[in-house]
Order: sequence, then C-alpha cells, then structure tokens
Amino acid sequence: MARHIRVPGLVDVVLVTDAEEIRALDEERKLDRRFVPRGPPVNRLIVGRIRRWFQIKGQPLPSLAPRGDAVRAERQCALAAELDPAGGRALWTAAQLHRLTAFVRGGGSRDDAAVAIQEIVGRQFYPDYEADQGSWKASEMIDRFREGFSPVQILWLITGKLRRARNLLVRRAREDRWAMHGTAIGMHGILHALERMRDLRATPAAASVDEDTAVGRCLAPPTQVPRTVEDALSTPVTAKQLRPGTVVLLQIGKPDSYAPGGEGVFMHGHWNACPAQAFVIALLRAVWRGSSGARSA
Amino acid sequence: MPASLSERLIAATFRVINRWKVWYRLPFPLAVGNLVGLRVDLRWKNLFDTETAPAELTSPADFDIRTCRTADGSFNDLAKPWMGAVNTRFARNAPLPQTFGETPPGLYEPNPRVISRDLLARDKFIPAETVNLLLAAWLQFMVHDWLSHGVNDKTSPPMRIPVPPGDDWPKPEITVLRTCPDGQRGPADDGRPPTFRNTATHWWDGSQMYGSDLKVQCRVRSGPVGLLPDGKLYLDATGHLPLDPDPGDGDPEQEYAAVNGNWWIGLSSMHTLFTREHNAIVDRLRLEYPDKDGEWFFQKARLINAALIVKIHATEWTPALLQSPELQFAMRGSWWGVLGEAYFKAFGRPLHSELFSGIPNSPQEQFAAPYAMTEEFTAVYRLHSLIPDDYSFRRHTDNKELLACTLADLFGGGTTRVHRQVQFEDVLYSFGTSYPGALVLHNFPTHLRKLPENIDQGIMTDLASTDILRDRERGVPRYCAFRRILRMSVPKSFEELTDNPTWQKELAAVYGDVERVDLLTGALAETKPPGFAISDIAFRIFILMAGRRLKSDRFLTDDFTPEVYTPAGIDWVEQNGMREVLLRHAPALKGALADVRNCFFPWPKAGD
Repeated sequence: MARHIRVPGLVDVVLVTDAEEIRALDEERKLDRRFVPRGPPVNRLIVGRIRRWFQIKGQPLPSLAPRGDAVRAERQCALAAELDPAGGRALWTAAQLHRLTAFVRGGGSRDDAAVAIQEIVGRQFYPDYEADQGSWKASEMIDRFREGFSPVQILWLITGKLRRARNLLVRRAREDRWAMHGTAIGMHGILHALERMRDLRATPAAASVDEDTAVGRCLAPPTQVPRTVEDALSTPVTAKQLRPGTVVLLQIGKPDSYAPGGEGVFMHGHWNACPAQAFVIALLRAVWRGSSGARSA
Repeated sequence: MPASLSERLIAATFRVINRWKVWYRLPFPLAVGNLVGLRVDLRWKNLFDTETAPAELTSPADFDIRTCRTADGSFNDLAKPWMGAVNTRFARNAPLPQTFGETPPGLYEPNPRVISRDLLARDKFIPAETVNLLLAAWLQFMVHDWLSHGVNDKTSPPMRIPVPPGDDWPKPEITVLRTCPDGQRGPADDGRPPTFRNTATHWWDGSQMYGSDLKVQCRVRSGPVGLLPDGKLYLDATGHLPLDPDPGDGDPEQEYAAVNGNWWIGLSSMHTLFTREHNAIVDRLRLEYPDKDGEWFFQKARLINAALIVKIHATEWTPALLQSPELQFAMRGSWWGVLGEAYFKAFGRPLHSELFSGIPNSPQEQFAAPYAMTEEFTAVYRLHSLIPDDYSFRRHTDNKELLACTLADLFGGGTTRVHRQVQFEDVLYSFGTSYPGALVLHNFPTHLRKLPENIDQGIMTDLASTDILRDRERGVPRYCAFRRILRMSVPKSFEELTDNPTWQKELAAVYGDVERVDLLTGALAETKPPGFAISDIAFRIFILMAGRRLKSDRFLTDDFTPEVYTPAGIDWVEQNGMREVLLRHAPALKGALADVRNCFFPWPKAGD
C-alpha cells in the first residue's frame, strides 16, 4: 500500500513504490499530468515548479504533458521510429562513442562523458547541436532542481542562476520541447548508466558480463514521476479517497527496488512509454562492447 | 501497509548502532531489539517480486478455499490467488538488476571443481556436536516442502566444468545440466534477469507429503484398492511408506512419497513419522466429529499436521541450530510472542499482535513483495555438509550396533533395505545420538562429491561443484556483493573474512580476490556468531524468510483459528511438539528422550 502524507491545509502527497500499484495508477485516467494548481500550499508549490520551469512557451515538456495531448502522442510515435537503430540512420559517430567507452574503461572525466552524451542526444534533433561544459552544467542544475527541494535552490532562484541555465538549454534546443527534454532531463539516465558501467567494468567479473546483462544491471529509471489527481479517486492503493489536486509520485526508480527491462525502465507498453528506449539500449550496448579490453590507467 | 513509524525508528536506530557493533555483540535486550530492527529492514528492503504476468485463476467450485489448503497452493492469499502456487516464480532477496546469471568465462572462475577439491572436500568428518542428525534430516524434509527447481534442462547444452590437471575425476570435464528455464516469459520480461519456477508450492503446507497437485495428492491417499475413504495417508502393513510403483531411477525398492527425490533414510524417517502423525490426527478428529466424511478429515488433518511442522521448526529446530539466548528468545517469540509460552498457556493469545502473541493468528502481511520462495534462500539452504558419510545404526535399549554402512548404502531403495534390518525406533535413536557435519570448509560429504547420477551412462556428479555453479548460473550474488545487499560489513581481505589462518591462505590461493568468493564458500568460511551452526549471512536470510513463511500464509495468521482448524485441531498444534510426535509413533524411545530438552540436541546413549 502506498504512503499517503496528508496534513490538512498544508500537504497532500501520495508516494507509490509497489510495481503493480504503479502500473495500475499509471493507467488510471483520473490521474494525469495536467498539473493544475490546486489543493494545499505544498501541492501548489510542486505543481507551480513543474509549470514554471518545465515548459517552453506555455507547452509542457513531453514527459510532463497530459495523456490526452495528441501532439505529444503523435510525436512520441514518430520519435520512436526516428531513434530506432533498426532504421539504419547513424545515431552517433565513432568519435562520440570513443569518448564514452574511454570513460567506462576508467579514463576521462564525468564532465567530458556528460558533454558527449548531451551532444549525441542533442544531435538526434539538430545535427549541429552544440554541447559544452556550460550546457552540461546547466543540464545538471536543472536535473538537481527536478529531483527535490534544497536550500541551495533558493539561492539559484534568487540569483537567477536557474533561469539562466534553463534559458541556455532552451536556446540550444531551439525551443524544441523534445530536444529540451532529451538534453536537460533524459540524458541523465544515460550518464548514470555509464557511471554504473564504469564501476562494473572495474570488477573482476566484467569479462563475463555480456551486453544485455550490462545494460540490465546499469540502466535505471528516473527516481520518480509526478501525477496529479484530476477527479476524486477511490483506489485500493490508499486507505482514503484521493481528492482533486493530490500529488501522486510514482517512485519507479527507488534505488534497489526497480526492475530492469523495458517496462520497468522505459514504461514500455504504456501510454507514456519513452520513445528513446531502443536508442538508449543500443548506445549502452555499443559502449559496453567498445569498452572491453585493457582499462585506461 | 508500509512499516510503521515505530518499526522504522527501531530499524534506523540499529542501523546506526550496527556501524560500530554487530548485533550479537550487544547486550541481550539490545540484541533482541536489533533482531527486530534487522527483520524490519529485510522485510522492506530485501524482497523483490519477479512475476510480470501472473496467472488469473478462478476459484474451484467444489472446494472450500476459505477453510482448506488447495493442492496447488492457490487461493491462500485471496486478493492474489496465484501467490505461492506451484509453478509460480521464485522471487529474490537481491535487487533485480543484480540477479543476472553469470556467463562464461566468469561462470567457471574460479573453477568450481578446484573449489570443491581444495576448499570443500571432507578430509575427516568434522561433527557439529551441539545438535543431532535428525536436524539434517528435518532440514531436507522442509526444503522439499518449500521448493524445487524441477528436472534439469536436458535440451540446452550443459555447463561444462573443465577438470584441472592432476585431478582424480575420471573424465576431462564435469557436465552439469542447466536449471530448467522459465518457459512462460513474455514481452514484459524483456531485459529482465532470468527467472525460474518452483515446481512445489511455495507455502509451508506439507506439500512434500501431500503433493503440489491433485493427482499426487490422490496417490498418497490411495492404497492397493484405491482412495482411502477415511482421510488417511496410505502406509503399508508395517507402518512404512509403500514402494514406488514407478521409481524414477528404476530402483524397485524405492519408497513412494509425494516428493521422493534425493531419497535416503533420513528423509524416509521424517516422511514416515509425519505420515503416521497425519493418520493419528485423523483418528483424533473422528472421535470429536464422527459425522464428518473422509475428505473433511483429510483436509483438516493436513492443515493441522502442516501447522505442527511449522511450530516444531520455529520453536525447536531453529533454536537448536542457532544456540544463542537472543535467538532462542526470538525464534520461540515468533510462535508465542515476547509474552512467551508460559503466558500463552495461561491466557492464550489475547492480542492479535506478532510482537506480543507471536505470528499465529496475527494479521497476514506480504511486506514489500508478494510471497514466494527466493533464489537466495535456496542458496543459503545448501547445507550438504550436515550429512555424514558413515552411519552406525544402534539399538535403543543397549546401544549395540545393528548395522554399519555408508551414505551410498542409504540412498533410494537402500533405505527400504535398512528398514528391514533396523526397527524404526532404532533408526530414530541412531539419528538422535549421532552428530551431523559442521557447516565449515573441508566438510562436504565425500559421497556427494562423486555421486552416480546415471551410473549406466557413466555420468557422475560432484555436488559440491554443482552447488557452486548453480548459484552463479541463477544469478545469486557472490559473498561480498550479497553482504552489501544485506547492508552487512564487507571483508576487504581474506583475513577479515575468517580468523582461521589456514583457510585464509587456502581461500587466497583459490580465489585471489576476496570479491570473487562464492556465497557458499564464504558462508562456510566466515567466523560464525557465538552458538551458531550457520553463518551470519545465512542467518539474515533465515530470519527474513522464516517469519515470512508464517506471516504471509493466511492459514498461519488470519485463519489460524478454531473455526478453520477446529478447536481440537488448534489444541493439537498447541499441545504437541517433536517429543510428542516421536513418542506417539515410536513409544519405545521414552527412556531415550527422558532427559532431552530439545529433540534436535544430541540424545544420551543407552547405558551412558
């Protein structure tokens, strides 16, 4: 059963960790990603952040767009086809791949690998997408802001650092919501996977870990994805009926509790499936394959 | 329902304390509290579901699922009727991303045969002198109730362990068939680790005696002229199990039981004892409820017999295995609660609270995942070192030797031949007065390292090598990785793993890197908590899964009531234990058991 944190007049949030419950709630039509500000103040704060920072020209980033958004659904299908390595299009260059394999072998820095990933992802949308340390640091800040609340975030807000970071990424993404999502949010999943791969490659067992196993062991979903209750909802997941405005956090990637595989990591088979599944898996497989051999000093 | 605030507080407190001090080094009250905290942590952090598309079942029309156990284990949990049923998947205690099976070359590194030969092989029998051999027989009896991976895969290429130079194995390699794969994987399983299915029910329901399907259940209830009308299980005229009309290995003297694989005299004794117990329960119920029919007697006797087995395991077997004051208290507490047995006998179970009155009749709970046996549990229950190679059967009246034999003489039909020469009570007496092997390195039974799997085809099995290989094949994390998963301290060197200097050198010679040590080897080598026959790492899985087998089972929690068991049935479970069972079916042992506090402790020998 999910954990329901409710203090009347302050907060009304549900945390869901059970895979079966997440599956059921993800298909529940009274839960959506409209993010209408209502309910107690903390809920409004959460929703307000999403609406303020994760949109371009009033349109939400695709991972935060409602299920009924026809444009999102259409682009999701098209993108899945475009990003499928089976389509024959070269999705990365040998030089880009080399930067990633060098990192997994123990060479290079995390920042260098991150820039390479951002470049690879960005160029799926615009062949001349430019990634550098500045755009990577901006992306890292957006990711940390997305993950939760902390006092340092207030400083980012007051000093305008967060706004400048977001503006830089929006500019680089040419105000394209999908490119923005990939380069500001989606890329972190790949980076975290490469960091785990680097650790795995350093173990004595690495030589006998095949590509599928390496991907399965290293690739994890985002920690949590938000939803809001659109209409009063009775569900076996919580003891009490959920009110409109309740924020539901589906904790799909709670450390050590997620399941590898298409559904567990990419929500494959669901309305909100990630269109980059085949691309990400192919990239990680290529990196693992390329990183075999002598480790860097 | 997530862990309560108080549970989380206890768990968090002891997580901090355990950074400096392991639980068994704390004073008694703190150590007991620490065990509670550990169990909370394990229940919420080390149970992982592997099912992706469980079967949708409809309730059988002609069977009362509310008050009887189904043959296949379904409908125990009424919200998820598939849970724990036969042919559902094994779950995991390790996070799923860490359970991918190993592949070559790592699968064979270090070489399992070298581990078997240099670290596990028994040079000289090392006895565990705090317990008796019934403990080993009981363990196998229980394992057959809980789990089986079924017949190995004969279609895929087998695993091949190269035999190192100079080894006395008769062939250049040891072939080991792969575990039968899960044939029901679907698209939702893409990218996920391999899964395996349990060919027994996962529940603690006596399925080793009653079967995991109706066909087998009917067979154990049937004599030469068909189904016994009185609800009893069939025993021959001498009170022994019948011979198997269709023995798997062609031995015409193999006894028949619902699960009779890996059959030997120890297993046979436990089956015989509890088959007789079933029939005794039927007799008791008939006195109380003369108007009921045979089917009713069978179903109620099964419920009662299974619950009695659970109670014996929790309150007698486990405290014998883990002889520390904290564990004696904790394991008995799982049945009677912290208020204890004396309070229970005076006042019953006034509170439906696991903590105060024990798990029976407390609310059923599944914690972080639907109930299922786990692969890691299977791994830590690889306790073959308990089995001696040499046996002496003696008369209970004067301790005179009746028969001396080796383990090889006791397999399969050999058991029947022993029963012909040695009275049942003398078999039990001999087990009660003998020691099992200690769970340490260099104590793996010699016979099990050269087992004739199929002697006609010249196929031999080294079970020690197979044990190592199975864990790697099924993705059971190695020793250090598993300790991390259980949030235990991790040895950085062989010196930190064991305080035995000889073993340190031997482990280093075989493994080179402490991170490569297999779970089985590490568990046998590690320095054990005081009074424990098993390792601390195995113990963690024990305390998690021992409680879970009860707490997840409706018939041992919500429905452990007189309404479901009958008042006579509840009394039978509560008033009996291993001593009563032994004396009911082998009354001649009264003298032998007179001074025995726990039937799994060594019995005094006649004439001592």
